[in-house]
Amino acid sequence: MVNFLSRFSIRQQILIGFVPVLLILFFLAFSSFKNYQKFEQNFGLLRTTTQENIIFLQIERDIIELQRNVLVYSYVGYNGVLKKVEFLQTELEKKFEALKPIVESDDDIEQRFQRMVHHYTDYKQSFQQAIIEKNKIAALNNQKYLGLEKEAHQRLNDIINVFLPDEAYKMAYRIGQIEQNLYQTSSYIEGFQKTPDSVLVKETRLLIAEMQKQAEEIAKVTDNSKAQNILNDFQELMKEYRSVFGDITRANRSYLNLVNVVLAGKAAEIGKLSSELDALISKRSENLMGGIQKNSQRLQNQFLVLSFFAAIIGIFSSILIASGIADPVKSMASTLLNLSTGKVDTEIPGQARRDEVGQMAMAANEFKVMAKNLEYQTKELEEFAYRTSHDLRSPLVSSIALLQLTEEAIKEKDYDKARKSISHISTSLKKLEVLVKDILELTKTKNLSEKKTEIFLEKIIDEALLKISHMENFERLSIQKDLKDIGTFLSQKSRITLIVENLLSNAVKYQDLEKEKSVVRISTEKNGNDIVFSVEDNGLGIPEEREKEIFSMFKRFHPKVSFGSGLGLYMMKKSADVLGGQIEYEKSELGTKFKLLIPINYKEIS
Amino acid sequence: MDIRSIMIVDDSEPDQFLAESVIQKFDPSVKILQAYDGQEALEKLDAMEIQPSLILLDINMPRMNGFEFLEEYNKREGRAVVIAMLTSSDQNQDKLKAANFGCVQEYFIKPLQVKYLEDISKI
Repeated sequence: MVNFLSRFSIRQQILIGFVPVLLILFFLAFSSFKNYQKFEQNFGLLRTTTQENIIFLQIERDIIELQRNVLVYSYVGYNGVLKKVEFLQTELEKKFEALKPIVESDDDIEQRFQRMVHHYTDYKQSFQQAIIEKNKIAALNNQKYLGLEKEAHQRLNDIINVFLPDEAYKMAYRIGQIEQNLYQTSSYIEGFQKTPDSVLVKETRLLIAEMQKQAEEIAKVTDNSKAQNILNDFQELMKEYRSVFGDITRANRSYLNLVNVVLAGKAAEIGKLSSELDALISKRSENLMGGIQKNSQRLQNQFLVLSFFAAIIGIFSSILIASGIADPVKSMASTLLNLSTGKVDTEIPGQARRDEVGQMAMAANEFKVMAKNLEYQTKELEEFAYRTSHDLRSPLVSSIALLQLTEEAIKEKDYDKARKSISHISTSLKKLEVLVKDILELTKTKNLSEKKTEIFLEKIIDEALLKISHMENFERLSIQKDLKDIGTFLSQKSRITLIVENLLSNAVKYQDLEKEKSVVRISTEKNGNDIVFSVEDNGLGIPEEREKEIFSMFKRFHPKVSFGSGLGLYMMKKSADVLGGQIEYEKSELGTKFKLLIPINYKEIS
Repeated sequence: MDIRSIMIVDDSEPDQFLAESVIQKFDPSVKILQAYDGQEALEKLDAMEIQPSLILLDINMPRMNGFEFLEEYNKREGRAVVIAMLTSSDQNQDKLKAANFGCVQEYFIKPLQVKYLEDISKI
């Protein structure tokens, strides 16, 4: 995982680390939003149900109020009360209208509601019927009953007028009684109209019968024909009076039946249904409330669980990022500290990473290589200073001592010793000369900046051979050349010359004089992009255990052959490096083989 | 210490010649052995039954230098030979390095003088 992440930059790694957390948070937000929508929906439903509840409660209340007003109206018959009844009806109808679309959602509720509306329609019709009955009573009362009463009073007046004064006086009491009963009756009927009472009906009937009886008695005691005629008329009026009263009573009974039984029953039914509906709706809102509660509980739980996961994943991501970034940075810091204290062999971790840590590691590695080079160069420089001071001084010290020895020998007339001593002085000084020459050459090699010119390698080889031909034992060499046609190429001539000359002069210097013949094979060829120049010989060679020191400074491998400074191969190596090529040593069929490889299109090393 | 034979380990022939002259001046009866580098010295010492009394050892030599010689020599058992460094190096680092080898008794700076040999014979 860490390896996978390390191909991204640190910023990207942190972002990637947060992706799972963000995903969970997004999921959390999304599900919360979904739940919230459900909430809102349920709340909307709850609001509607509560409204329905209220309306049903209002219907219950309104129907009671309506019935009460109907009853009041049935007794007093005031128009104001009727207006109120009508107003209440309108209100109820409005509520039914409002409920109609809402109750459709539930079959049971709708059925009950329809029944309620149906009852209400009946109620309204019955009330219309009641009003008709009531009007009928009023009509009976006004048109017939009052007329009859008036006529009855007139007849009683007429009787008084038809009697002679004596008889009138005798009859006045009886007539007065009838008159009184008539008044009583009229007040009963008036009362009955307001409060229909069976006692009153009975009393009224008795009074009518009483009045008929009294009229009969008056007819019995008189022989006045006119009065008898009037009394007959009165009897007829009473019969009609009775019959009208019967009508009024019947109309009243039917009216009361409508108001007290039918309307009250309907109102009760409506009230009951409304109450039932209210209960149903209440139950529905309870369910809704339960749903909302459950929903909220679920949301809460979901929120808790997801938060927990988000936290865990967050921690996990942080640890991952920390181990992916902080740990390598930490180890990089300690590595850099190590490097800064000069431990140039410190391993630099994280170079395979492709992020900033990897870049740091690569840069640190560059520094390490530079530091190593610098360390190497410093060591080399120290070694160089040490060895040159020693190697320069050594032949001089020897020469001075040898001169003293020579002087003493001459004094002692030991000329043989003096001669030997002088010969050694010469060797020492020659050694010094070689050394000084090589040091100068090396300095030149290190600092020379030379332009590339066209190189004829064969010509350089010939010139070098000519140059070394004066060397001791050159004539022993059997030189074999194997020069392929390599044409010319561009390179730094003086460096190539230095290498060629040194390799060839080494072949002369380090001959194995014990061998019958010294053989040197010089060859050139083109190998891919390289020009290969090699010198192979059967000379003293290099001891195997010393091979790795072969191109180091001041290394000599042959005792007694003391004209080497130990700088030759080192110098060649440096020159080959500058040419972008390399110099190699290998054991060969003949003995030893040195190979110089020069790239034709080399990159110049500054 | 009775110096009967001395081995000079030095790659420089003039220095060999010089040392030889001084030893002869010191005591002409001393047997002189020559080796031109550490490796040759080791080979010769291994082949000898009677070890030389003293080894005069140069530092800078081809193949095997003085210090490398000392390391190899220390590995060999029962070689109670006195070794004196004889070198033109007066660098402290060389002196310290030589002193670390228990078998090195003296550190002489070239050229060899009779006085040095006398001092050693007094040990």
